[in-house]
Amino acid sequence: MKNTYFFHIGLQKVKFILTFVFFSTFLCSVCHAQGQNLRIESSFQPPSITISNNSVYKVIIYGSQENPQGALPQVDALIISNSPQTFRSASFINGVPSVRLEMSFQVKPKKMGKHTIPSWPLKIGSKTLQVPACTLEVLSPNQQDKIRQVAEEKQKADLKQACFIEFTNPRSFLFEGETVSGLISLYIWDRLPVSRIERAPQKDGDAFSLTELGQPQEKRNQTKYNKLYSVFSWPIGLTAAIAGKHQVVFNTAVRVRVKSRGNSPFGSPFFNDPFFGFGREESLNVTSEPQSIEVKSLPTSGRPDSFQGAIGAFSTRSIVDNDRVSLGDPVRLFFEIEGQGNFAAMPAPNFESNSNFKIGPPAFSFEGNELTKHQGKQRFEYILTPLTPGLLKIPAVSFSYFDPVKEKYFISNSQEHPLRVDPGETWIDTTNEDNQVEKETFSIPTTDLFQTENEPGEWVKKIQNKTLLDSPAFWATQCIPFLCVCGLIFYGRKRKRTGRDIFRQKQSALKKQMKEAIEYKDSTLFYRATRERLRLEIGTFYKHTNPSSLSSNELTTLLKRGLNEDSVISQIQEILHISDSYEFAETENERQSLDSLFRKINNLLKKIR
Amino acid sequence: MKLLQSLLYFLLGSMILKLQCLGQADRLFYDAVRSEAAGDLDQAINLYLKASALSHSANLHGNLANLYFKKEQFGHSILHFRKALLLNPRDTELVANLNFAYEMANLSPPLQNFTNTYFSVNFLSFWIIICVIVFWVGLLILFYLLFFKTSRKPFLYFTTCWILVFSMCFFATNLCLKQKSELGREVISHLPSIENNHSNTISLRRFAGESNSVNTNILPGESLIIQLGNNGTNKSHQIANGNTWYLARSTNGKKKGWIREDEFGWIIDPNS
Repeated sequence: MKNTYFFHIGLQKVKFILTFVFFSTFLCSVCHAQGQNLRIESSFQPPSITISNNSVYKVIIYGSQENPQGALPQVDALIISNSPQTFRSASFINGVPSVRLEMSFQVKPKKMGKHTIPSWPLKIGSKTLQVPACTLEVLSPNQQDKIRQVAEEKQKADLKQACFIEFTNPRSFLFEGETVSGLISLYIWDRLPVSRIERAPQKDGDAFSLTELGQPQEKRNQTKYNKLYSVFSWPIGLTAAIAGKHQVVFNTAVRVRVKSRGNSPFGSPFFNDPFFGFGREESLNVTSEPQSIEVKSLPTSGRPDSFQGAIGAFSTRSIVDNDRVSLGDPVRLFFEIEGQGNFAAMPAPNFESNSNFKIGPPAFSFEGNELTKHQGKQRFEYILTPLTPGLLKIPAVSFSYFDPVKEKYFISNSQEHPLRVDPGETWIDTTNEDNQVEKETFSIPTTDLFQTENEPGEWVKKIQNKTLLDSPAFWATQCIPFLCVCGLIFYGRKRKRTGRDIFRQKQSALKKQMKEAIEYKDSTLFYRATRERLRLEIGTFYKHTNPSSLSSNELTTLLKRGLNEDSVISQIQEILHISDSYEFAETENERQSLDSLFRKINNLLKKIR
Repeated sequence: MKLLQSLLYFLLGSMILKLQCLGQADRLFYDAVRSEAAGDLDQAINLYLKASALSHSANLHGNLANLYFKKEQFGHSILHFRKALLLNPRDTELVANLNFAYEMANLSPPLQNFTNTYFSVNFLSFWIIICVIVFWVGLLILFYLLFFKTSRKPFLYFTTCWILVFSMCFFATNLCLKQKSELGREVISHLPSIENNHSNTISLRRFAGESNSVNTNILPGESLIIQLGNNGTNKSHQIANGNTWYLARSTNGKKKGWIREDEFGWIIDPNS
């Protein structure tokens, strides 16, 4: 056991010594190998490819592992990557230590043929060596390449349909300097996982100028190519700058989430993947189809002298803020141009000073779509200072423009405005003498204005701000209406208690019933209400305890007891009789107008004594 | 009996005192007129001021304002014109003179808009009477409709209209009362007679006291409203040297600050 232990200890020591010796020898040999003769080799792997494949350009440096310095020559027919993969190795070959550095460049051919990378210098430490020339043979594509190419094209087409730009131009040709309002629409397929639009679309080419793009209008669920899209639209103002036939192209970039690449250097999607294996973001460039627009030069024939580049369809108007001023006072003249056209490129119409007016440069203001500046109202505000008094005329403002639809020049003159200019006050030079005079004249009006009162007038003990509210008499007088109100309340309450109010309520209800019966020509209801009303009014008049219980005979007796005329009694009897007939016999003996009967009853009841 | 006798004596005594006081004010007034005629404006001002300490009249304050105007003390002049107009609001000559004084003091006269005219202190009595008539007549009609008419519709319509009209009248009265309250606290700034102020402006300070920084400046003749304190009285502060400072703001509310008591004059003196 003891021997085994020592044996074990001894074995470990031997292992340690052997490892130490090996590494020391290796390091010595590496150091020794660094000093060996330097040699460079270059090759393509594979040396012959078809045009759709890639090759690797390898540069191997023997005898050194130092980082070399040099510039790889460019070959037109080849695309060579700038970032090579490097590999360092050390080995024993036939007992001789050897070190080497290997650099691999990805190469993609552009065209077929034999392409040679010429010999080029490479500096390693203090020595400069030549990398030997190397040739890559690029062959014509085979069947597999063609299939792949078709697949790639199809993929490209699909990708194009997934996200594309459309530019809508309302006109087939434009005139130089003309502005049209267009629309740039970015279509994004709903299944394309776009996280954001990196930038608003940009125009390629200098033949047109574009107005600033604002926030896009977003429309969802738009159908095109049997797909659902989200459409982002930017209204623009496109101005033709150079005559000729030009193409206009718009491009933008969108951020798209894509699946993680399989060739991760660590073999795991969680490295270099912002979505931890679910995908990563990539920028996708989107370009519109090139649209060819012809830009014509403006016709020179018939061009007015006052034409300054306004192109469109316009109407003009001029307004003056005042028609009568004093000499030297400014007047504002507003010249308004309304319509569709190149407002952004429109200078102010020429309106120059003359012997009557001094005219300043105008102020601009635009009402309308500030982004496209294609449709709206441009206002120029001129400040005119009259130089002479009298009845003057503000001259007309001349504005000429070219109508691109009618293809003609037009001149629009504003109307002349009459202006009355008063002479105003003369300016007096303030010299010392004049000051003296002024002082003298100043003293005169004050004595004239401020006459001294010789009598003191009515004296008051205090200057007080007394009002009616401070007066006791005012509050005392309030007792009168207060007592009136109290009296009214007292009387009203008493009246309610005696039942007169109930009588009036019943009376008005029966009157209302009668009126309704007249309106609907309901004789039965009318006579019923009449009988009730006669009972109520006659019974109450003669202070009967229960008027509603009175019969027709009892009512006649009550009437006879009073000082009533016989004609009144007989008429009431007659009405009661008719009412009874309607109520009990339902016969209609005599037909007469209910309205006239109603008036008759009212008169009869007033005659009751 | 003795009580009645002593009461009679007291009334008689106070009447004699009052007449004597008025007589003295008359005498001072006439002396002042004579001094003014003699060209001694300072003496005339002193005499008018003495008379105004005893009693007030529109003519006294008008004459005093004229004298101050002639001495180009426009702040004092505007103050006394305002006092005179308070005693005799219908005097058009005073109104014209006041406007001229404002012009000379480089100030704009108070704006005469609809609110200032029809809801001013002068219209307060009118609005109170209208308010009272609307209230009592409305109340009487209301109770009449309640007790003497069977239909409830007229009662409801009338009540609505009555509340509406009365609210409007009450609002107008309240506006007038607000202006009355402001008039009671209105002062006119003027340059103090002793101080040697070269700037011809009056400072409204951030805090009470001369050493404090100036918040804003005002011209003599400008109207100020003294601010009210928490207890409802004028907000003032007495500093160590005995001067009393008041917190004031301009009538449009744009300028505010503390002002010394000898830098303004009350239109209605709260102490008198």
